Amino acid sequence: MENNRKKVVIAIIIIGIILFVNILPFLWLILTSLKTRLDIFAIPPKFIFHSTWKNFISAFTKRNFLPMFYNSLIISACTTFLSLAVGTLGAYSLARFKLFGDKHISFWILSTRMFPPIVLVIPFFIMATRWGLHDSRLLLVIVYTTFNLPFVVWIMRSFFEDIPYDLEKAAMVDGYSRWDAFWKVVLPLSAPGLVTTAILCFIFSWNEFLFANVLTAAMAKTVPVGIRGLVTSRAVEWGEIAAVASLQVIPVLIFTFAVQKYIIRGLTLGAVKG
Amino acid sequence: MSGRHLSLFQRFGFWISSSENKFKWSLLLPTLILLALITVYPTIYAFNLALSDYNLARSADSLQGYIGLQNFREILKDPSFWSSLKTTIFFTVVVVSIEFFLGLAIALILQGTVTGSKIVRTIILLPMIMAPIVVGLIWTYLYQSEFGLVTFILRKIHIMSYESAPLARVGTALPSLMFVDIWQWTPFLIMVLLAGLEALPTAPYEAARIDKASPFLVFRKITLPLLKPVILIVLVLRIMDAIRVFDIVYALTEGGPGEATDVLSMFIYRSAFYLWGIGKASAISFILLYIIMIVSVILVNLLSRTKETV
Repeated sequence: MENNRKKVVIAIIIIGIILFVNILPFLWLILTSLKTRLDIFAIPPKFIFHSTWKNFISAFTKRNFLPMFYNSLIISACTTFLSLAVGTLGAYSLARFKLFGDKHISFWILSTRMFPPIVLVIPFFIMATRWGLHDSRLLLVIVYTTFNLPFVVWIMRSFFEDIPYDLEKAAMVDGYSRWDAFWKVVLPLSAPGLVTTAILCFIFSWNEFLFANVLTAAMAKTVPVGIRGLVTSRAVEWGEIAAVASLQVIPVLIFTFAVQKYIIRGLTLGAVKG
Repeated sequence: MSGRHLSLFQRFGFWISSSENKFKWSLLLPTLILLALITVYPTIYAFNLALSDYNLARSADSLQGYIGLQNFREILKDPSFWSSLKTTIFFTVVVVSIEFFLGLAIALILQGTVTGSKIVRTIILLPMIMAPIVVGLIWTYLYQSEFGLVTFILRKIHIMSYESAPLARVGTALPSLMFVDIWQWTPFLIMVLLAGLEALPTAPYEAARIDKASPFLVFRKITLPLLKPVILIVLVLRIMDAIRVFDIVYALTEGGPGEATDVLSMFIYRSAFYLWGIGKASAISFILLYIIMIVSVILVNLLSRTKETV
């Protein structure tokens, strides 16, 4: 008993340290976003200061971040929808049926997920320039599907495998066709999996930087590219960077809070059921 | 059924369900075709680029077109490539080992003691779900030479002199970069390994308790073998991510100072989009792809072997 209590105390201390280390940079970001230029450059760094909304206002008036938020939202939503619409079907097929060479197919799909983006960004850049797709939202939707689609297939397959096959068999005995058994029985039961998958696809796309940085210039520019764009050789607008970055993190935080039970399962491609 | 009016969607449902073979393949084919179009085709395209003299900074008539393996030969003679390969391997090995051992130690301590609330879990997940470019920029700001918080603290406790900053020196830039990756991904390792530990069967532990086995023996003979599949999966994921790390490097150092933090992704990026040597950059990216393939085949083989024995 004594031993156990000691263990709990140590555990609480460790969790405290982790929370502190995790949240400090984030808090510092939020504090910076509320500081005036003068306070940002103060030495020693200031913890108490007069707060201002100036950075947020100038980010949207001077730096024009509203269209970038719109681009990020549209692109992330479209690629999420496309990947889910196509990938869910493939995942179900792989989860339920023995296919000719299905092990190789799964491995190939997984390997596309492991593809380094830097390998794909060069051909996409040349092709997009030749075909007049450079700096378009459509291009980013297609490119983001390269990592979202294999993700959907892998994680939804794991969620489908959790649902007992007997349920579909029973439905088919009751006169459901195979398609109806999938559409009306399996899909509603895997709703938590679908929501988690959608949220993770959205977050991956919302946070993506490398492809967006190379493949957009002005019209389709996304928020991460815009944030990095505030770093120039002449000056770094730390206040505005902090302001936009805090806004960019908010939806991610809300989504994570909502499905945190499944985040680890998602990030391990369904392998570890956290 | 034929008398009733059917929507297109219902017709699709009937058609697709008419035989099992038709059903399973028509569900899978859209994925396969789409994935082939958006990944295989660009890869073939990139391979063509890698075999040609293609440089956007030179005039078109000075380019020779198809040059076979010339690009690859040039890269293998380039000392910058070898130093960048070395940096990537060093970065991957150090970062993944520290994250793993730290994560495992903390997971073992936390196991079975506390069940975190929703808010606590979200904060622990925070670093891994933030945009890596934002993580990079936050730390650039914290490492800033004049007013950075980390720099300030390091100077106050006399670890660092007033003349230097973490990212400015060749000797400290790479460790500072590694620290950011470790900050970002150790919580992930903790959460995954904790989930793995909590899913282990209890029966072997009961037996060990009856036999009065020492904690170390229990860990080595029971916990480690049972946890092996989870450990391998999480190592595969982390190694793959560490080999292709880009965003935080781009935000923090862009490969500098000198070539101190020039990982392969950064090297390829600079070759392609600063120097516009598209052909050469594609060739390097294929070397990176090749390395990743070899590593993944080795790890996946290890993984399938343990699955059979456990």
